[in-house]
Amino acid sequence: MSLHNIQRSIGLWVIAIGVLVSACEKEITINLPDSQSSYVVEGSIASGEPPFVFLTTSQPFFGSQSFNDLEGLFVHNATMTVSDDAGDSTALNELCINDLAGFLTNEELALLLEEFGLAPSLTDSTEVPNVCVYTLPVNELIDYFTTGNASVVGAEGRSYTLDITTEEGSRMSAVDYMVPAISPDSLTWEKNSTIDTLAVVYVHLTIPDFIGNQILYQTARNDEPFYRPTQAVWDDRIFGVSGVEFSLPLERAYANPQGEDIETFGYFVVGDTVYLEWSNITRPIYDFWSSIQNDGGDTPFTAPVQVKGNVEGALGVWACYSHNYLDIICSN
Amino acid sequence: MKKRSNSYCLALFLTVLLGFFLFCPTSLQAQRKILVSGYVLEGESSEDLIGAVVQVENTDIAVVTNTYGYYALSLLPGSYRIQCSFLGLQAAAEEVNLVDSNVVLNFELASDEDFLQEVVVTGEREDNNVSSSDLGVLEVETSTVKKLPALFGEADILRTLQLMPGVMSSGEGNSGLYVRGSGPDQNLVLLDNATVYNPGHLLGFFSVFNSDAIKSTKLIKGTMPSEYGGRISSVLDVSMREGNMQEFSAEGGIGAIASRFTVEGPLKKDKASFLISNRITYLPYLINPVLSKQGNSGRIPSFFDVNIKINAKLTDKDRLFISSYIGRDRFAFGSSDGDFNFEIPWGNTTATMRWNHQFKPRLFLNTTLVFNDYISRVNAGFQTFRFKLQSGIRDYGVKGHFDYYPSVRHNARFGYEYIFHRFTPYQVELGSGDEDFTNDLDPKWAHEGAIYFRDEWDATSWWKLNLGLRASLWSNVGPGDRVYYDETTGLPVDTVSKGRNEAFATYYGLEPRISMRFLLNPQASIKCGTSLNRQYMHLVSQSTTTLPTDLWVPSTDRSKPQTSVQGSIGYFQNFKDNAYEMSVEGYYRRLWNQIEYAEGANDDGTQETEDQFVYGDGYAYGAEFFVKKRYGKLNGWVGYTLSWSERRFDDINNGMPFRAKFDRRHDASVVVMYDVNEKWDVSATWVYGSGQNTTLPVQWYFIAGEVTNVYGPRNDYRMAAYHRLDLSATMLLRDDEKRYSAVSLSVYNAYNRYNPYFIYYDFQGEVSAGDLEVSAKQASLFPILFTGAWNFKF
Repeated sequence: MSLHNIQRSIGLWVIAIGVLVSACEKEITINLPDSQSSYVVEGSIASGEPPFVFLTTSQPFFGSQSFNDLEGLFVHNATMTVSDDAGDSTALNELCINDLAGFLTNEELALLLEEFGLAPSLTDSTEVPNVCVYTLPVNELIDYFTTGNASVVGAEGRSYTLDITTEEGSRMSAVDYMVPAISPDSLTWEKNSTIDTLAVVYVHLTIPDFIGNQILYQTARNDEPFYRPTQAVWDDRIFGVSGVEFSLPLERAYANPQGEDIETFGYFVVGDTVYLEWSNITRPIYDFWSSIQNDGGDTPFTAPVQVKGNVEGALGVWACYSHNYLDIICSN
Repeated sequence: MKKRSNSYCLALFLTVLLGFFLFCPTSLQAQRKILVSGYVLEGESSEDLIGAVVQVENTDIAVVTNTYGYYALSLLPGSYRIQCSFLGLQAAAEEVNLVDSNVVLNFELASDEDFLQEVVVTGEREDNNVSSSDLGVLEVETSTVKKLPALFGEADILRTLQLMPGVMSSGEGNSGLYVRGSGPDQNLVLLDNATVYNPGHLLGFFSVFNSDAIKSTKLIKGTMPSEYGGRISSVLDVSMREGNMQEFSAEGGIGAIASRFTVEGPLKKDKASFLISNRITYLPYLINPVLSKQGNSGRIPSFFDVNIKINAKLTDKDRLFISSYIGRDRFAFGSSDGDFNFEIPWGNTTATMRWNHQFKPRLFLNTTLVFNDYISRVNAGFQTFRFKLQSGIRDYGVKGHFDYYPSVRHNARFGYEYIFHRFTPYQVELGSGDEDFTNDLDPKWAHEGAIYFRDEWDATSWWKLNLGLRASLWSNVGPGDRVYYDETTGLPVDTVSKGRNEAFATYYGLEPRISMRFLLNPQASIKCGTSLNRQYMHLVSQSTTTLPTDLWVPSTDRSKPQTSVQGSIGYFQNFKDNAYEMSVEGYYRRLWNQIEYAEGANDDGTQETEDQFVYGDGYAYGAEFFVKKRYGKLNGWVGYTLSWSERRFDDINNGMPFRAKFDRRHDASVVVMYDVNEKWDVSATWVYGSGQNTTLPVQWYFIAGEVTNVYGPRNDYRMAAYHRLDLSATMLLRDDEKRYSAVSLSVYNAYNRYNPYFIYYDFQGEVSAGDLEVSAKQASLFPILFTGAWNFKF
């Protein structure tokens, strides 16, 4: 919980009261100044996993680009390499959904997209958008998914540099460090004290001997993909002391948290199998995800937060994640 | 501390100049002068009258009483008729025959019933706006505040000040003040000499000042006299009433959201008095049941405050004042099952003990001990998980202020002040089960001191000079640790520890203040002035409204003091025996070392707040126009301000200059008060302001499937203009020697304009469903509101 969140909570509350009193809001037309589109990098390499990089462009609000035209955002034919501090370098290939059409069903493609935070609503008549990602060659990727073997996977203690050159000659680069993983001790759960169909899951931690470790966590339940909760990042400096044990309630994450009931928000359901992805990250990656979750716009109660990326020449992030996975069944 | 040598030269020059002005006239005076001195009191209550005029009849020799109602006149032996006047009270005059000893002459001015029926009681010397050397000084009488339309029936002195040129509000319904293009933290807010760090109740919608307990309100937006310091924009000096020394009385009011009750009276007649004033809101009892029925877990914030004052005449030469303010707010919400809860209590506490002592008739001392404390907490819980955040500031101070009257043409003031500050940063406490942890951020400590001197000199009958110099010092000291972190890994790399009173950083500097008045004729003058100010503590907020989580931070080795230089010039003109006043003032203010949060800053309690600051410069300039009709059944004023305010930070907006949040090109107000008859009076205010600046997203992109904003240039979009008409009518039910009773009705936003509060983008649908749409929406806060209040006195 940060100051932004507290102020945003106050602001939302005041606005709610204001709306209760007056219901004063109206749609307006605004003329925004012209702005240049930027390249957007969303790239990661996780411990034991190959790199994945989405390369897209930002678009003006109220421009011609539709929010729903995902395919139009992607930048094709870029040259990308990922190199580590041991001197090994790997070129990434552009892999599009259409390239996998012969290998996977529509449902499997949709699941794959969900893994990347894109969840298309498929019907029999809809096509999976031709989303593209830069990663290992397709045969090597399939080999990785089937056997776990790949020519390059993330290793703890290494720095990884991403270099990108687009067809037009624009260059982007970023570097991040894969910090050693520090696993939580265990998960436990208990029933909600008033609604016994709801479950609270706790992660039990031992704060390391040195503080200054940053965490990004995601949760999943049953066969749903992992989602990022509203308070997904932690810095153990907030504990102020090392070598102690602590229990933290996990927030259930949703694909679309805005539509959820506040009374049950954040709870799991008794009977759920709950999965935790607990990733150690560096401070710049912590700042990136913090700034995303803290942005509440320019209101009397909050200031706009310009998202802090770590990619030179582009918006977005190139992140190393040291994953730890735990799970628990919330069952009697 | 750059350009310190220039400051020294200036200081040396001023000191020599001051010494000459101050001492030469008296030392060269061949014939001994005799001093006439005393207090001017309001006859009915025996309260001191500030700003009463004591004048030698048929001469231009006149003085004005100080903050404690004291005056001193230095005259040659002879017979004189001394007249004392205060607007709204009957003038008094006494014959004195000065032979060889000093004379004490106190005045008690009775109320002027006939006068009261004809005019608005303003308490100003009639031509004070023209004759004084004050530049950019606004005084608001509580009686005026109570006549104007009030939001939710709560008369508010800060909201009345917002109707004056050069003073702007920070948004719809907000009582925060932006003065001449500077931020609200750059105003020194004093209540009986104690600093009020958060002057807002109910998230800033109301000020902490209870109008029933307030005696006088003065806002100095121009050249700040040298006895004030520590802020670079303005001074809001509020004095509490002292209590009636003659008889017991009570007054109060019942408004739409709050009630007030004040009781006062003599502890010992003519010797000591007390005043207790309380205000409490009952809004939660009205609204919360409605919210609950609608399934809303929110709770309306509540507040209360108490003002207490005791005033005693110990001897003819000694007076003691003890005053205190305690205010508390609370805001909370939670889920109906109690598993999730969120509470923010916050409040100010001030306490002041002042001792006035008259050493000699020429030398008057006011010594003040000051304590003030502002604390804000956040308590949140989810199941067995607990989150607490605490921040605040606590001061202990002593101030000594001397008034010295060496001759009739000089009024010298000098003194010192020392404050010991304790800053509590965002201290976070986490708990789960039986385990509790804190982020271990140490409090920060600082010594702040100043000495000052100024002389108000009537050099000639037309030229008045006000020269002042302030020397200020700040030292951020231990005990404490300063931890430095690696920017990439986030791991601590160094720690600097300091013991008690060992300095992390020390700053000092001189602050010259000069203003002068050129009297063109008895009804017109030109004034000009300039001042240098330093500010050693900072409120770096991420909001434009007053929030309880706002954090004051000291100047340290990383965050340097803010400085400003302001120059202003004005033409002042009265008409028709001072019934009308008019003024035009222009100002230019240069600001250095302004502080903002870095773009993307995340104040999550894991690092020092100051590690997230960036620094830049700024400037503000503008012109203020003011016309006021003081007397008659119809009175009021018109104010207009044309202004610019910009900032430039290397690390914000790509280093390009940007408009300050409170840059408002046009700001106008019209205030009309009309006494219809003995039973009714009505008033109206109309305000207009250029739209507030806001920062809007100009581009979007996807990260993890979520729309992410790219913001455009800082404060680059100006929202629609703000304008609003408020109306008020007061019906007198009873007004005699024993009882006063009146009912007021107010209409806020009479023509129901949807003024912009902020703009947001509304997203409907989902990209995954292919139906995501975005539109821009303007949110407004208050539509037309009808409120009433009943005020009484007995």
